[in-house]
Amino acid sequence: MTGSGKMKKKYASGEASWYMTRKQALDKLQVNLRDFRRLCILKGIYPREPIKRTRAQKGSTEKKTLYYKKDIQFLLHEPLIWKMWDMKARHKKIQKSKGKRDFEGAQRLNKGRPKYDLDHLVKERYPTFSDALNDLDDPLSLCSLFAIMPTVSKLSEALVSDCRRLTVEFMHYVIESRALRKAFISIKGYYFQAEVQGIAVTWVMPHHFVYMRPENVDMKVMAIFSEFYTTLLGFVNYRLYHSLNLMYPPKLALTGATPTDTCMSTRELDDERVAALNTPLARARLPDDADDADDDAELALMAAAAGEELEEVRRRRQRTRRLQRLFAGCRVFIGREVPREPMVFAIRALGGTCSWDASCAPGATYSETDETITHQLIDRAMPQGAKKYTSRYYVQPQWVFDSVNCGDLRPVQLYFPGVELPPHLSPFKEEEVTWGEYVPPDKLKLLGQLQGTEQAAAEDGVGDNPSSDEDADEDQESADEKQEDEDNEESDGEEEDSDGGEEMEDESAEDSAKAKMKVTPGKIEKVDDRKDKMKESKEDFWMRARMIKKKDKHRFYKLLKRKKLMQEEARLLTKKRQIVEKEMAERKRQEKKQMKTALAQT
Amino acid sequence: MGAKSKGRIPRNKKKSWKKQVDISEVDEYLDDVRLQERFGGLVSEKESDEIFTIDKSPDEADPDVLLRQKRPKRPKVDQDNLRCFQNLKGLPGAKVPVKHNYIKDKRPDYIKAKTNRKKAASELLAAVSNDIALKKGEEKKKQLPKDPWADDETADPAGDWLEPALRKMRRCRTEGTVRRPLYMRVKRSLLPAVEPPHAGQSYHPEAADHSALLEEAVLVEHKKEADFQRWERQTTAKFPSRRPTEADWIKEMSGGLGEDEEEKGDEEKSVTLVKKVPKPKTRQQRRKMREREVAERQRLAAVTTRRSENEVFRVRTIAKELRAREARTVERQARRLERQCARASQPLTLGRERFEPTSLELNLTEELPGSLRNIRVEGDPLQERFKSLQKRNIIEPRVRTTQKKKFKRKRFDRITASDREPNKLKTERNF
Repeated sequence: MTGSGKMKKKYASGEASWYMTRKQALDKLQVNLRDFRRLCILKGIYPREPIKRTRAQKGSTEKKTLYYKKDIQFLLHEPLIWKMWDMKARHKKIQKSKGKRDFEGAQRLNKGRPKYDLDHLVKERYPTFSDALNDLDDPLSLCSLFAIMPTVSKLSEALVSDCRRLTVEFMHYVIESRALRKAFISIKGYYFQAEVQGIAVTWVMPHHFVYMRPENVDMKVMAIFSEFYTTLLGFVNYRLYHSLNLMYPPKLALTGATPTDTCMSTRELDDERVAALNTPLARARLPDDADDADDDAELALMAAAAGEELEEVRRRRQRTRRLQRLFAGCRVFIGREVPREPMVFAIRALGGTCSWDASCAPGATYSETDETITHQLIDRAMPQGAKKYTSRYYVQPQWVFDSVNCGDLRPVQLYFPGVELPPHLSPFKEEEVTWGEYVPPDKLKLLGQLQGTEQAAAEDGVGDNPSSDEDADEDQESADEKQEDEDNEESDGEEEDSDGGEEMEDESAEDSAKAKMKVTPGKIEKVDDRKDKMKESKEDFWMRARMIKKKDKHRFYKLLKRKKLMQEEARLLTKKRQIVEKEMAERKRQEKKQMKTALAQT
Repeated sequence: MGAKSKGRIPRNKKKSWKKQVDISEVDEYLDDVRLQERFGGLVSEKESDEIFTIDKSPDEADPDVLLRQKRPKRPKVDQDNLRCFQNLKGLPGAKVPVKHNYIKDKRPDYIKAKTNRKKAASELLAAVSNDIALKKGEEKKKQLPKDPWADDETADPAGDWLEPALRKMRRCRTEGTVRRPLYMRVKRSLLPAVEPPHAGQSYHPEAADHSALLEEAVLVEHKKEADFQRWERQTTAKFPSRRPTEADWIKEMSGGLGEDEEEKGDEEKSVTLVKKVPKPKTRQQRRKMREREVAERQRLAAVTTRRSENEVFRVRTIAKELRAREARTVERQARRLERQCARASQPLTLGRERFEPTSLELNLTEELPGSLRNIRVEGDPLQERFKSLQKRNIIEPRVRTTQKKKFKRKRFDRITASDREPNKLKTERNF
């Protein structure tokens, strides 16, 4: 087809036609850079990296910010942009009247500036609710950060208070639904993870110290993000609250005393009490306890969906149930030196009650003199002459977070004031692939509890390495041997039977025929799924091992050897420990006996 | 004039002193002393132990919220009929003295109509103009958020069998919006929004975790150092910082001048070399060349025809080649996919600036606090959020550009004595 047809223009199709530079986009949309940036963030449109930059930029090698052309075309249909054009026009008018020194007119124009709302964007960007839940980490982290910002001139006060209100509302939801799963005190802030309708939501709450704004952060951009996120969080909270029959906006279930302080109005005090997280919320209807019962069918479905063992899923659910009632019956008093909000959140989210000194902040429910308090969080030496109660434990605040991560109340004596604390382990640490080396049982217990496999660890006795194939292989081997033995026995029996049959055939054909005619009850062939699976996985493992290249093969066997050595060592050490423990127990018993005899003699 | 002012009292007589001086304070004091003496001695002479006692029990702070205790109900105050404002309402029975005296508009009707029309028009203009938005805003009451996902479960059942075009039309009619392109739902990065913290970043970490974190930080520092060294080697070391002096310049410019005379003999030889100019081809030569070219072309054509005829016998080879090519394509596709996946979990180049990660937050061993109260906070949460957005390719990394306002400085010469005396030098003073 050479010679005929139009000549193709360069950069008219293909990658070159997919992109638009930022300048082109600005020209097309008729907005300035500031508005464009706002529009992109609100609409969820991001710059793109082309596959080949020179091609996308029509020959230019300079690194430009590129957008999809389709994105920009899509932006043209956005009602927000009309508002922005209106605003632009209004701004010009304001400037003009200011120039004419008509300040009254400028003020009036300024007052009636067009305002936009972002409600329609939420549905557009998150078509389903689970989409929104999946993307909740960012909004929560940013809003809880904005919540503690000082209201300077560049940051609108409304935004800060909105952020504060929305994060508090979300935390209330987590408390009411007992959704907290993990909590961690890091040097960067408090990390929390909650399970909201089956989706893990992680967020950071900053430490409440005097906030210093970093210099190289574009505050305007962050403010735009938080503007959208507040809208999103509002909708999400609304729906979450309604899923629990909670009233929205949140109302406290209990009535408070009238404000004694004259500096706060009733409304402000109510807001403060809500922010204190310490009182349950009013519900439109009381929850029914139907979901407490274990639904096996549902569990099985869940297991099938996740491709896991039913037992595993059940165990996990039990653990969750236990976690949800972790602090049930604990009445905690929080000292004034302990950071209040994260502690109250963690304790209340797992079924506990707490209070603090009423002069400290509003929302306290009982005073320090209450005899029913079971734990008091304290982070400094008790002042001289202060009354100590024998009816409660005085513990350091780490006890709360460690207990949450363990899924069990940690022994209080480890956390007494003045005692050197055990390390605060991260629940976010990924499972380590171990070689089966020896791990002391104390550490094992801690790790096992962290990963929710303590039972498995206890059963194994050695190392917990759920991901390693070798352990499974060993088990398989033993199982296989047994199976083989059984098979042999069975086959032997069959042979004997058949032998007998032949003899009978020799004696009389008719009898044998009759015997053959006889109907015998059939045996049910037992299909052991687990055994088959294990066998299969073992076979798979060795098949995979065969696929290893020749040059890597010796390394592979070296690794296997090392693993075996480690396991052998671990076995020996465990045995040793068992013996030592036995000896110690024996000695203890002897001592007890001696004491008893001594007592009897006296 | 006649009356004596208080300031001027005769002070030379005892009598006037007695008369004028106010001794009530002294009397009061003495009375007080007598009173105190009657009731167990002077207070000022007593020890503080005798007067005060030390309050050892703390004031019991009342809890703020009383569980299961309702606020006592106060009788509701009728705000409209407060007693203190009764006066304002006037006496019962008395009528408000209102005097109706309208001024009759005596203008002719057509003028009245005209003014009315004008008034209406101006009102309309006002309504249409700028304040319309404000008014609308006021009218709109503050509403609770509506649930945008309310119809998630009850999705449009008719949607399945409707024609795509029809569906689109319906959507446009009902929603009035353009659908969001589907590719926008793909996440920009595989990185999590909130990265789980390193175990060593716990406020009270385990020794192993903490040393692992420190090791990581050391690696980062090593890399930085190596980078720095590389740049040094490639820039500063190559270009000595010493500026060339005049002596250097002279030396460089006169390079080879002294040697010239010694190597003159060699140069003479080299000068004699002259480039050969090829002779022009003869007509015969050209013809022969042409003939050769034609023959070669014919030969090549014959070869290609023969090859294509023989291709039948090459079926196997061709199949093999095709297979090899296909295998290569598959392999390359896999490699490309791998590359794309790798791209999805790292920051891309979205603009002129490169993404620069923040430094690893850590507490050194001696900085580790013993308790939560003494925690040493590291890193900045806002910066981390900002960097996270950049890392996930949501915003492009930028360097803040602050435009400095440059005013052009006005310069003017002051008329000085030197201006008047043109022989003197002008000096610019106004800098």
